[in-house]
Amino acid sequence: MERLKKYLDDVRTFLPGTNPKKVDEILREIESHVLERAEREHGEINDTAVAMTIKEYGSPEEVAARYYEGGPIIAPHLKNYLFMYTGILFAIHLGLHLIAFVFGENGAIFDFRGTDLLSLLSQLPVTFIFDFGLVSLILYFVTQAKATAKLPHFTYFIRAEKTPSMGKRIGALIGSLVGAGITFLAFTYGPFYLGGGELTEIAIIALDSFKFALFLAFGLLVIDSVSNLINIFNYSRFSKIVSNTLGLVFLFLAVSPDYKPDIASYLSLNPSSIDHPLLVAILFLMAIVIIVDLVFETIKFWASRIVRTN
Amino acid sequence: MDIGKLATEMNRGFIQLLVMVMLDEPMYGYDIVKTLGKRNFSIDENTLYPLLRRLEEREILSSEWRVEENKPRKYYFVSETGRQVRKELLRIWNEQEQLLKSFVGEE
Repeated sequence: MERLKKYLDDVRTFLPGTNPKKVDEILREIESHVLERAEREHGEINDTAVAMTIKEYGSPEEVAARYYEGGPIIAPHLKNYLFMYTGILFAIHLGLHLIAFVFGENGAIFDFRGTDLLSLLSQLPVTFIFDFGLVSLILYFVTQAKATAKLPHFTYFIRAEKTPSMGKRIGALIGSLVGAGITFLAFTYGPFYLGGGELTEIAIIALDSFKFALFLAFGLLVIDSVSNLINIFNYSRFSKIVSNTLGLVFLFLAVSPDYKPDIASYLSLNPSSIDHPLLVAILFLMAIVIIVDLVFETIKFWASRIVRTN
Repeated sequence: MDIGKLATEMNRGFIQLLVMVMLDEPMYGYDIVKTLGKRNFSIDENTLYPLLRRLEEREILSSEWRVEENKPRKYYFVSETGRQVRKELLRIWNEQEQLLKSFVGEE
C-alpha cells in the first residue's frame, strides 16, 4: 500500500487550506473511496488493484481540485510559481529601469521618484508589489480557467544540479577575491595607454570607459565575494539572488545622475567621456549580464522548490 | 444545442436536495451511488463525494466512521439543522414546480 500512501501525500500537496485536521479528513475519505472502488472493480484489495484504481481516480491535482470549495484565489500548487514569476518579472523590471538609467532616462515602466539612494531603495518594494500584483492577477485567471493547469517551471535549468562541493565554494570565493584585487589594482594604477605620443580623444574615452567598467567590476566582485563567503558556511541560492540584487542596486547608484558625476570625478574621468556611447555601451552590457544572471538564479531557486512539491 | 452546462448547473442544487432527502438513514458514499443507480439515476462519484463533504461542513449532514469488511467507511446522515433546511428547500421546490407547471401547461 506504499503506492496509496504516496498518492495521498501527493494529493495533500495540492489541497488548499491550512487546517491539518480538515486535510487529514479529506485524505481519509479519498483513501476509503479508493479502497472501496479497488475491491468493487478488481475483486480484492491488493497492490495491483489499488494502483489501477488510483490511475482511474485521477491525478493528485485533479482530485484535490474537486475539494476546492468556492475556489481558492490561486490554486495551492501555483503558489510557488507566484514567487518564481514575480522574481523573474522583478529582475526584468529592475533591469529595464537600470537600462533606462544607463541611457539617461528616469525609469522604464514608471518613473522613479528620484535617483538618489533613498528614492532608489524606496522604489524597490513599490516595484516588487507592482510585479507581485500583476503575477497574482495572471495566476488568479489561470486558477479560474483551469485550476489543475501545469505551468512551465524551467526544469531544464535544474537538471543534474547539485550543491557545489566545499572545494568549489572555496574556489569561487578565491576567484571573486582575486578578481576584486585585480580590478582594484587595475583602476588604481592603470589602465595605461601603451602607445606613444599624444592621446587622441577616442583613446581617452576608451581608457575612461575601461576605468569606469573596472570600478563597477570591483564593486560587483566585492559583493559577490561576500555572497561566496556566506555560501562556504551555509550554501543557499538565496544568497546569490541577494548578491545579484545588491549588485543591481550598486549599478543603479553608479549610473544614477545623482552619483555618476561624483564617481567620474573620483576616478578622474574626462567630462566628455561620461555620456559617450562607448561608456553607455559598456554599462549596458554589464547591466544585461547581471540581469540575465539574476533571472537564471531566480528560476533555479524556485524551480527546485516546484519540483520538490510536484 | 448542447445543454450539458445548463443541465450541470440545474443538477447541482437538485443533487444536494436529493441527498438530504435520502439520508434519513445513514449511508456511505458508494451506497448512495448504488441506491440511485437502482432507480436509474446515475451520479458521478467524483461529484458526489466532495458534495457530501461540503454539506457536512455546512452542518447539514453529520457523519461517522465505521469499519466494515476491513475497510473504513464514512456514513452520512441528515443533521437536525439539515432537516430544517430540507423542509424549507422542499417548500421552495414545490412552489417552483407549481410555477413551472402553470407555464408549461399554457404551451
